Amino acid sequence: MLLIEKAKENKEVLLQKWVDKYYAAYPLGSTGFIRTSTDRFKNPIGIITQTSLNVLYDAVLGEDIELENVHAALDDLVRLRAIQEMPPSRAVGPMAQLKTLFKTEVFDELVKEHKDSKVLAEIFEDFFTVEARIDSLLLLSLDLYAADREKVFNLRVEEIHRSQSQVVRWAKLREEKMSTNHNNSEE
Amino acid sequence: MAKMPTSDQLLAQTPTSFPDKGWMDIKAEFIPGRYPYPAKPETMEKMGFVNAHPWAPEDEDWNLPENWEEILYNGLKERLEKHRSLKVFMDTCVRCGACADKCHFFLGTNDPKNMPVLRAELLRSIYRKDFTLAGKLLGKYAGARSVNKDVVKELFSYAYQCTECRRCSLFCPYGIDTAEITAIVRELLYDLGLGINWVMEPVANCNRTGNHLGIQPHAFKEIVEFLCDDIETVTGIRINPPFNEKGHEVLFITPSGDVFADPGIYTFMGYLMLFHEIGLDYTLSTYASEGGNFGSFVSFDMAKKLNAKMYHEAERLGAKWILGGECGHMWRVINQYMATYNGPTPPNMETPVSPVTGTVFENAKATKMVHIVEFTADLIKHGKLNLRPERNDHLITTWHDSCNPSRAMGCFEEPRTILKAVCNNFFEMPEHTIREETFCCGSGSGLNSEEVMDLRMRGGLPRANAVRWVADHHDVNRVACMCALDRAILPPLMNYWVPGVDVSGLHELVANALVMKDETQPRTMDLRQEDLEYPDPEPEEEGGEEQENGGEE
Repeated sequence: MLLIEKAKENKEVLLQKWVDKYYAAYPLGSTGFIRTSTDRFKNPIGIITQTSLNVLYDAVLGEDIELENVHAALDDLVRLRAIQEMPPSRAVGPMAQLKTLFKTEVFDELVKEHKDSKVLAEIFEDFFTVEARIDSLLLLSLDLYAADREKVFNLRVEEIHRSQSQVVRWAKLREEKMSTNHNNSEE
Repeated sequence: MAKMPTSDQLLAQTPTSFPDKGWMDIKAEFIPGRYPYPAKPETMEKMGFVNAHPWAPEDEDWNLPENWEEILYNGLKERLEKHRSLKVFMDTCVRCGACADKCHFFLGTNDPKNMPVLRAELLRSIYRKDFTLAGKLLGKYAGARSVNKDVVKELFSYAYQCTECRRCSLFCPYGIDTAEITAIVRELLYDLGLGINWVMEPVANCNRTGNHLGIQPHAFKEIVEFLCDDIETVTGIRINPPFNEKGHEVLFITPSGDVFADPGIYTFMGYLMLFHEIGLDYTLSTYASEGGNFGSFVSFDMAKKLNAKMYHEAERLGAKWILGGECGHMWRVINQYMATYNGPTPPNMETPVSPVTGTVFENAKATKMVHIVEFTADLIKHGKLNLRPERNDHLITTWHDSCNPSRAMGCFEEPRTILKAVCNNFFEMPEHTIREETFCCGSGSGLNSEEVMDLRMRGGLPRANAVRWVADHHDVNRVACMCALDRAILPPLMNYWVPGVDVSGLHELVANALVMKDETQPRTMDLRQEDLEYPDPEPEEEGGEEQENGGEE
């Protein structure tokens, strides 16, 4: 549990570094604004990112969390990234960078500190478990990202249908009328 | 041989410091999903744009006319002389940045050039170079730059990442209307033959046939009759609205989207039911069947040209005043420009007076046009409508202040009065996201073409985010609005960001609650022909029902 404990203790710092990995996708000139504004209505991108990652951080460490909440947090995050003109790897990739953060900021230090093989084995075990959870989130992100992109394409199609629904209705009725007239005249 | 990069290396291609170049030297990018498709040259030529030509945003060469620099210079010079406001807007900005984080596009994209101040600076820098002494002498040091073809591309990119919603101007200590700057940039681009199809096609259609899809008058009439069929299905009442008839008191003009598009059609049905119930003496017109002014997305001249149809028709038909439907930019044009564009009104027109309540609409003295929301709020205030808001009890509503009627007209209380009278469940979105500070739907002013759906989802995020808040906290499932573009734009926006929240025009909800004198009792379905969750009581159980103005805030 050493690794998990240390990751929990340093949550504030590590979470901020993780959030910054996500912010790295935005132009630097405006990331100051995302970081500093704490109003959820004035800074939706920043607040959605921070709120979601806060939940996901705990989930990765194996805290007791409703799976539904984890899914919802991931859903919000990926939905945001999916329409921001970045390649899919950048949209969901920073999830994987949490591994590096844990490795350099937590794992390496613990390994340096402890010599006992039993303790070391436990640290390794924890690290692999955390990594596996991050992998799960990454896989789920992939599903969500694809679904969100699909949704955007569907929205485009649905909009065309909606925008001329009555004209189509009119055209169909005209067609029916014409074919009925045609059939009647044939009889 | 190279080694496979780690995830950190793969994702490390991000700027870690400010860019080496200044904003003037960073070229605009044209990524699919960010730019609207160009207008067809033949459509533009029909409307008198001499420099119309084929071009594509992603191409290196936009085939600009040979003397494009001259056209741009003369165009800007002419407009600076014509609009004193533009000159003031060009000179007064101190770049304080108060507008920066007020723009929904900046909030949704984080692109610095989407800060209204910088978006305006794109034009201002050109102005400084050509029209100010400091700019001529000091160039870049005075914030001036010469135009080149990349600057034209940049102007196009950012003029079409602005919905002219004017939220930024609300916060500007100098009152600079950045929307007007965007409008001028778009005008200049049209001079160069650069227009967008989603705007130009409706402009040409409205000009020729009267509505944005170019539907011929007979088909337009037949489509309205379908909607009357639907009303009959729901209420048992047959309504036959008059078309192009002379001698009626009122000419009713609404955006034609209300006749063609879901869910606007339910709002249109609502208008007809209301008029039938109060016995309004009105006529529809197929010549002036488009209230929404697509010309206002092109140029002031084009807006004036299309707007003129309203008075022409009122004069031809001898209407005393015009009642206008729920629309956004239609009302900005009417409220801010119509009187000077096409006024004074034809001699047959009079200051509007409600035939039911006798209220004189003094505010409409100049234009003789009343917004239907003002009209209906007046009816409700005087208790002239028999309403059963319980029919809307399955809806938990919130109100989206459509930018133009709210910021350009101050229409805040009227729609809320109506909504609270016809729905028992109403919750406001948080402060600073409503009323004059309302967030734009993200796709107004000609940006609601499907090819920019990605951009629209980014621009609409702040609005959707506020809806999400009321959906999470109060289970809101319906956003009501008073703009035809909103009715087209909000459904996909909600569908993406807040699934489960649907969109209605205000008069759809009014008509659902409206107890009509001759209707089949009890009413069992709403205008969408969905079963009412709380149907009317059997006829014998009713009697002496009081109108309720319930609702929560």
